[in-house]
Parts: sequence; C-alpha cells; structure tokens
Amino acid sequence: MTDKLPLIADGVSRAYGTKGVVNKASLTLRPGEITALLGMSGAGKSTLLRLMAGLEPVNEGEIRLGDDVLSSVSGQVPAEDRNIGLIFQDFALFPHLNAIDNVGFGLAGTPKTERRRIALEWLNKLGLSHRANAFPHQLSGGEQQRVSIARALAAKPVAILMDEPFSGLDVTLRSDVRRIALEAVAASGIPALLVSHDASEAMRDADRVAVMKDGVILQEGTPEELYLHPNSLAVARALGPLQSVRREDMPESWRSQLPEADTYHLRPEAIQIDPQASASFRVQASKRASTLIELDLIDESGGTFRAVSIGPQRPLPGDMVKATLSPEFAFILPSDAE
Amino acid sequence: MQAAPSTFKLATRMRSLPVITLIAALVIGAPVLIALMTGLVGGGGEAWSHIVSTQLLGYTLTTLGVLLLTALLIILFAVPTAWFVSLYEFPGRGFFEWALILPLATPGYVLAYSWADIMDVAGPLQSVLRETTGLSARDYWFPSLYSVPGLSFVMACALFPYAYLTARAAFSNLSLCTMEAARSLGASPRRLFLSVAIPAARPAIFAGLALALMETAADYGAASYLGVQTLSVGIFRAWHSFSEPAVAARLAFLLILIAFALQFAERAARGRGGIQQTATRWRTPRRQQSGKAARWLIFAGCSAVLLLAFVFPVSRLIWLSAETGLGHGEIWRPFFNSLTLAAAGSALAFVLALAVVIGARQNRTSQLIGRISAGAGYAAPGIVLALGALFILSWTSFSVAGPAALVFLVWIYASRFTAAGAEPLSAAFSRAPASLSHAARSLGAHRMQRLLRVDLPVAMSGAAAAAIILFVEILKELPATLMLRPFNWDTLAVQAHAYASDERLAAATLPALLITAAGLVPVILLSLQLTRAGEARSAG
Repeated sequence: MTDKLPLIADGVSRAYGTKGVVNKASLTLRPGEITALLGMSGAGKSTLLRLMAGLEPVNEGEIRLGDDVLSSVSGQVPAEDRNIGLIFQDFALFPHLNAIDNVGFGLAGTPKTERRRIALEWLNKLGLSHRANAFPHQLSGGEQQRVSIARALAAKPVAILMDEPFSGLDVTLRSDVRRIALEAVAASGIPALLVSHDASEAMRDADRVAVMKDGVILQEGTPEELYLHPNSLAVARALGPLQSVRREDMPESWRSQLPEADTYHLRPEAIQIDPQASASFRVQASKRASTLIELDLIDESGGTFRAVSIGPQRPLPGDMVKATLSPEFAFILPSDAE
Repeated sequence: MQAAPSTFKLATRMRSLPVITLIAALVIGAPVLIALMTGLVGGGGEAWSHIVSTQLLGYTLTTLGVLLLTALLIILFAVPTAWFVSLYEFPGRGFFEWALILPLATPGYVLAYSWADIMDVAGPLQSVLRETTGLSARDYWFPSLYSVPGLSFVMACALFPYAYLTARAAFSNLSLCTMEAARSLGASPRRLFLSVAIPAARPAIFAGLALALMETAADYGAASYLGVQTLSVGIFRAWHSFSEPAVAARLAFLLILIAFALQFAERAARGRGGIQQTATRWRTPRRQQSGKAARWLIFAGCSAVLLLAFVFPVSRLIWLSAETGLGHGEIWRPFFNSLTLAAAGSALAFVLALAVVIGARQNRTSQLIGRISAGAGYAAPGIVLALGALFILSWTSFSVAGPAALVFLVWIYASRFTAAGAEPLSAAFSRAPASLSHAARSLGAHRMQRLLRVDLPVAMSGAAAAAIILFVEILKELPATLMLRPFNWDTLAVQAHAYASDERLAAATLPALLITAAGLVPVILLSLQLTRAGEARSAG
C-alpha cells in the first residue's frame, strides 16, 4: 500500500460570485483510509468533493496528489485526466449500457476481451456476476450502486470520492450494500472520501471524520476523537444529540466529578440509570428507542435531564430512579458565537 | 508505482467559446441576416415607396387580421378538446386523444386546396344545398374561403394541434391537490375550468399558440392560393412579379418583427410567477364521468373539430383523386426529389441542432448564441431565408438554375428548421442527469468521447424524434423550395402548388396526398408516444 499517494486539499476556497461556499478548507485523504466528510445541507461538502475531483476550479489553495498539483489558482488538471473515481447518490449508471459495459467504461484502452474479464471480475467481487448483462433499469437500487462502485474501482483510480452514496437506497438494503461496497473500497488501499450528513453512518463507516460547516472544516480526526473530544459545540452537535445543563442545576454529587464551568454539554449516554447511584430523580417521560430506553428526569430542585437505560424494564412516568454521570460524555465547549 | 494521472500539466482554465457553436450559428443565421441587411441597405427607392404608399398597410392589416382570427379559432378548437380529453370520460376519448393531432400531417396549403373545392359553387356543399332546396347559385349567399376568415379557418385547422398538444399536457399535469382543493371550496366545473385550469395552463397554451401563429405568418402556399394579400404573399410578389428582391427583403422586416413579437409575448406569458404550480403531488386527476347528454355533446364537439380539420378535407382529396384517376403527370420524380431534399436538409439540420445543443451544454455564451441563431432562423419565414440565399447566389458565380441552388436549398431548410430539431434533442439531453457526464469524466472520457459514448446514446430517443420532425417539416416546406429549386426540378409540394394554382386541383391531389401520407406516419408515432407517456405518468 506504500505506493498509494494521499489526496490533499490545502487551504482551498470556492465562491460563486460573492458567496463563499468553501473557505480555506484543508483535508488530507490518506491511502487505505475512508474519511467521512460530515455536515448539514449547504455546508460545502459536495463542493469540496467537486473541487477535489476537478469538476470545479479552486479560487484559492491547492489540490494535490502526493506532491503533484492537480488544482491551483493558475490552472487545473481536467477531471478526466485525474483518474479519481466518483460515486454519486443517483448512481449515474449509463442507461444505454448493461452492467458489464458500465463497469468496463473506464477501461477504454484495454482490449475488449480483457476489458470484459476485468469488468466481470469486479462484478464478481461485488456479488453481481449474475447480473452482468442486465441494464440499469433492470437492477435494484442496491445493485445499481454496487455496479457504480465496481465501475469506479475497475478503472484503478488513485482515489475515490463518494457523494452520499447510500442515501438513495432503501433502509433495508443499505447496510448490506454499504458493507460490501466499503469493503471493496478499503481493499483497494486508495484514499477515499465519503460525503455524508448522517453522523452514525459516518462514524461507523469511516476511519476518520471531518466536520464541515459554512464552508469551513471545523475538526478532523478519528470518530472517537471527534465524538469524545469535540472542539466546538457545532462539531459536538454534528456527531450526535446533546443536552446543555447549567452547573447550578446539577446534583451536588455530579458537580464534584466535573471541572469548573458554567454550562456542560452532555451526550444522552452521559446520564445512565444505575440503582447504585446516589442522585435520585422522578421520571417525567420514558420511551423505548430501539435498543435503549430514553428518559426525561427531574430532580428535587427542579433540574431536568435526559438519560438512557439499557433496560430491560422501562421506568414509567412518576417512578423514582437513581442515575449516575459519566464525565467522559460531558463537554465544556465554546459556543458557536465564540 | 500507482497509475498516476496521465497528465499533470496545468490546463488553462479559461474555456474558449466552442468553435462548433460559432460555425453552427453562422450557418443558421447567415441567410436571415443577409436578407435583412440587404433589405435595409438596398431595399429603398421607388419600388419601396410605391409599396409603402399603396400596399404596405393592406399587407400588414391583412396579416394581423389573419393572425387574430386564426388565434381565436385555434383557441376554440384546441382548448376545449384538450380539456375534455384530459379530464372527462366520453365515447371515443382514447381515439380523440391521439387523432386530434393528425391534422399536423397536412400542410395548410393542402387544406386550402381541399376546402376551397368543398366550398366551391360546383363543390359538394353547395351542390347538396341546391339539390335539397331547389335554389340556384344566384339565390343565396355562401361564405367564401377566398377571404381573411377563410384563410384563418384553414390555418387554424392545420395548426391547432400545436396548441392542443401543449394544452393537453398542461391539463394532464394539473396538480390533483389543486383541483381537489378547488372542488372542496365549491368550485363548479365551469369555474374550475375558467379560474383554476385555464390560468394554470395559460403559459403552455400560449406557447403552442405562438408556434402556430408564427407558422401562420410564415405561410405562403395557402394565402396565395386563397388570394389573401398577406405580407408573405407581398414579399413573394415583390421578388417574383416586380423583380425587386431587396424591396422584398425590406418587407420581410415586418414579418420578422411579428415573429419576434409572438416569441416575446410567449416568453412574457411564461415568465409570470403567479401561475406556477406549487403543489408537489403531481398526479393526473381521475377523469370525471359526466351525464349521458353531456358525454355525447363532448363527443360531437371533438368529432366536429376532427372532421373539419382532417377527415373532410383529406377525404375530399382522396375522392377527387379516385374520381379522376392517378395518372396526372409524373409523380415519382418529384416524390424522389422531395425525399432526397428532405433527407439532406434534415441531416444538415440535425447536425446543426446537435452542435447548438452540445454548445449550449458547454457554457452560457454558447447557449445564448445557439439559441438566438436557431430562434432567428425559425422565426424567419422560408420566404425570407430564400431571399438571403438568392442574394448570396447573385453575389457568387453560381447559377440559380444549377445544382448549387439545391445546396443552398438544403442550407435554407437547415437554417429554418434547426430550432425544431434542437428542441427534442435538448429535452433528451436534459433528461440525462449531470452526474452521468461527471461519472464519464472521472472515468477518463474526454469531451468528444463523452459525446460519442454517453451523450449521444442517451439522447437517441430525442434524436429519433428530432430527425422525424425535421424530415416532415422539410417535406411540407413550400415557399423557399418554390424560390430556390432549379428549373424543372419539382418536389411534391411544388408540384401540388403548381397544379392547384393552374386550377388543376385533381392533378394536385396526388402529390398533396403523398405529402400528407408521408407526414401521417411520424405524426401517428409521435402521437402514440405522447399518449403512452401520459398514461405512464398518470399510472406512476
């Protein structure tokens, strides 16, 4: 894997008229790693992907493959000469070509028999060899996306960029397609970018996660780093739900566990039901959310908290419960304004 | 070492205007530009002054009168039929849905020949009238087709399907929510039609109407046969009878002005924001069952339109043809000539349309240049374009009577009809998402490879429709062919016109029917395709 090169965005900006969409963004995609780019709609994720792919020019900064400059203010290598694979939400399969010819599209210089052999090999890797002669409209959504991934990888790209590749798929198909597809991407050993707005998907699928907001990359690191040590409220919120609690509203036993601050930002799992704990609460509301039970609690001084329990019994409204605080899920963060 | 990008040379970012677009724009726009410039520079003098003082007002008012009456008749024919076919169940609805498009196959001048014969003193209508009443021809008044209302009627019959098609599509796309909301608020069917459906469909109806009126203004064959002095007839006469091509070109200004005014009005109608649909649940409303009497009334209305616009005139031509036999002069040579010219013209127009559409995908300047030139070609009547070609011929050493004229004729066809071909091509291209092109780029396909391996195959459905439309339009074209064809080199349209003008209508029927028959096949295919698309949409 050592011969693979990183794909680097170095301080790139892109504006449409006076509206800046990407602002001095820096991101390194390392070989053999999947980096998830996370953010809300309009954060600039897809634009950064397009800049890296060469579909748009940069207004500032550079895109490099290793030391080779692909885009800069003075010019750019056209997308078709970069050999960077792209995967789209709408699959973008060529409707006039069957699966095997779609996969073979990027192997234009290869003799026909060899091209078909390679294409079939890739379809086989993605579990689709029996659908080789099917046209896109005859394939299911999951099959179409696997063909598009086979097509991108068959061309032996130097990197692969995926723009919300699984969001067009049925929920029941998603996990299987994602597993097969991302295993193939990981096995290729090239740098990979996965643009997503789904935090759980990004953390589950990626080796590294970058969070983007208003065209700026706020933080980049492993999923654990970002989930447990967010550098801002925006990053913490992007990775999962939060509740903000003032120090004065906390039970005394919890305050002593936390460093001094006005406000703490807690993940739901920061407060867990524990019969051995000292702090007591009344249950205001409770509901089962798949594997966990979510609870709204109130203490005797009127402070309200959101807690989780693994069950199996669901405490009912009015019940008294005891809860414990896990300080590693409580953050002291600068606000968005700061 | 990994497969690195093949070239790391920094390509220049500035994209130059595709040369292909400029060449296409020049080829399309040159005839109309040359005609207008020549008219402006050399179209003055005594002849012009004479026309201005004696005929210009007449030509203009007649043309405007024809346009106004034709517009009213088209709305009368097209909008109610489209409304009932889209939203009501009645006997024969499925048949009328596609059959009402059939008149598109018949050129206006063919309908004029036929209707003029039907309404003639010796024609079937007046004969039956006299036989049943015992009156003589002098005892009663009978409307004449050789008049502004007569020409308007013929043009409306020939061209109302343009507005019928756009209105039908608009009515079929009416949001179910909007319609149901209006009904729940107590709107009667009449109010639903006038206050909800018509305002929502107005831009679409106007688009079809504008197209039909542009064709009406450009018509020469029907107007000259019926002796109505429109601008087109005036232009042809200035060139042919007065031998004043520059004066003719100056007259053409007015015709172009009318065409642009129609285009402008159509855009203005389309641009109004308040009539855009906002509901997202797009489903064809379920067709309403109406009372028995109403159902048969609707059937009678649709039948009347189809009978007037297609069945009566075409049947009359078939009758005449059968009555007098088919052996009127040579038909195969004009038939072959028509096919050759239509094939060559549509091939060139297709290539130009492709260049315009592909250019439009490159950048906005190309899009603008392509659209303006194709629009100008389409807005310019064939008569004006032919003048442009004649000016160019006169400046060169080519003979108007030689084969060079045929090359120029093909050029004029392409100039005139490129826009008609570009429309379905552009629609087919736009159906392909941008991600297809991006995917092809990421797989190393350069511009030309993308065009050949992705864009063109994806656009093939639209390409077939474009080619068919171009072929039929060129087959029907009369004035430019009349002006530019070499001596004794007739097409079906020219032959029909020549026979009809010599009052040898029986001889004109065969070429006229052949043109109609040639037009029918693609029109039926197109009609069935549109109907199926509508059914698929409503089932989805």
